Amino acid sequence: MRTRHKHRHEGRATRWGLDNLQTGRFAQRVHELSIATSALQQTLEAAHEAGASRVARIVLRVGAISGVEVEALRFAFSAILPGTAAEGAELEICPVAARAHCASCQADFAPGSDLLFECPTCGRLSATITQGRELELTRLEIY
Amino acid sequence: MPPESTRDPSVVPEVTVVDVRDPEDALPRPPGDAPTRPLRVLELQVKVLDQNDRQAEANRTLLRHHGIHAVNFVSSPGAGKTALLERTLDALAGQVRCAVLVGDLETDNDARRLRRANVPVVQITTGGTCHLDASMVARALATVPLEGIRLLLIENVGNLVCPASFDLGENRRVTLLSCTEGEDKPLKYPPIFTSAHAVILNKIDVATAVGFNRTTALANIGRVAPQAEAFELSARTGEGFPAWLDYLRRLA
Repeated sequence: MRTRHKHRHEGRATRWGLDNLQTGRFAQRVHELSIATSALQQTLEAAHEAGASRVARIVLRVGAISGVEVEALRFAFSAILPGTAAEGAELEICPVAARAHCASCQADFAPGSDLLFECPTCGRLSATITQGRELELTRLEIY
Repeated sequence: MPPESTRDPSVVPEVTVVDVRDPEDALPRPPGDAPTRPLRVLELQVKVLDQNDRQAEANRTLLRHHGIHAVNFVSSPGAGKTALLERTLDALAGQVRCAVLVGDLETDNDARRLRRANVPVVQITTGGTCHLDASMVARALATVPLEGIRLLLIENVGNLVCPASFDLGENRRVTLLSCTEGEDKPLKYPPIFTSAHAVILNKIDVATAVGFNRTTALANIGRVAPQAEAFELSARTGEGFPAWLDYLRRLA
């Protein structure tokens, strides 16, 4: 009986936690790995609280100017999911376009491709960014 | 045990069950495919902060608790961060108590240049890392007596790219651009300028000699970083310093 207990708890530690992950210097240098690690930790906590047995899908909202490279984020997830309850989960990334607000025209606008926040109507520059910095965990599908 | 008189032989008491099983201890399942469970959807609204942002928030809280304002200085190597801090420390001596953290890949040359009476200076040697991060700042702060300090000046590693992504827990980020670098630096490296509260155009004493167009440079800064206050100065001659020092005094 004792042996079985010990086994089960060890299994859960790696399944629901990230004790087996290296989150040292490499994670800090590659900023997407650190973000993926945070998102996975939040995923596992939420799924565990909801009594899930495994996670099938992770949905994130990532803003165009959040500073996150989507391909690097996907790669980071592929490296850290195995061995956890989210192993094999599909990662869905919903992009959020950047928007800014022009105070003189009282209107929102989308910045140009060079990400200069110049109002297309009056040409004034705006520093009021209304959307695009998002980095959120929005939905999980769990079994 | 009820007294003998209240015992009614016709009433049979219910069985009390005390379950001492571990609720987690499920009986073994039959072998084969696991039973399918229904798929459930969890709607969440969780901000994903990475470890650095959490540490940066912790640094900000610690500094606020001590009444310290922190300024993070970023620029390419050789833009004049250390010279700016040297003159700033001299000008603020006796008025605003400062502490300095200096990040470099190797050597403590900059920290030696910044040594002043009553100014704690910590050199952060990063080895290979091209930027400071919040945990390095936390470790450095642990070695500084914080009582009485009003202004923490952090000289980041010279680099126009990576430091933009790393919040150190500062209250203000100041990006330096020197006249020898060319007017279009803000257009080439927008993130470090868009994330700045103030931009300093340094080395204006040599602007004419190197054919630097200050009007174009300021227009470029305005395009990329309309939110930033701009200062034109020379850390070597002290030209333009009063406005910059006022900015720091208003912070502290």
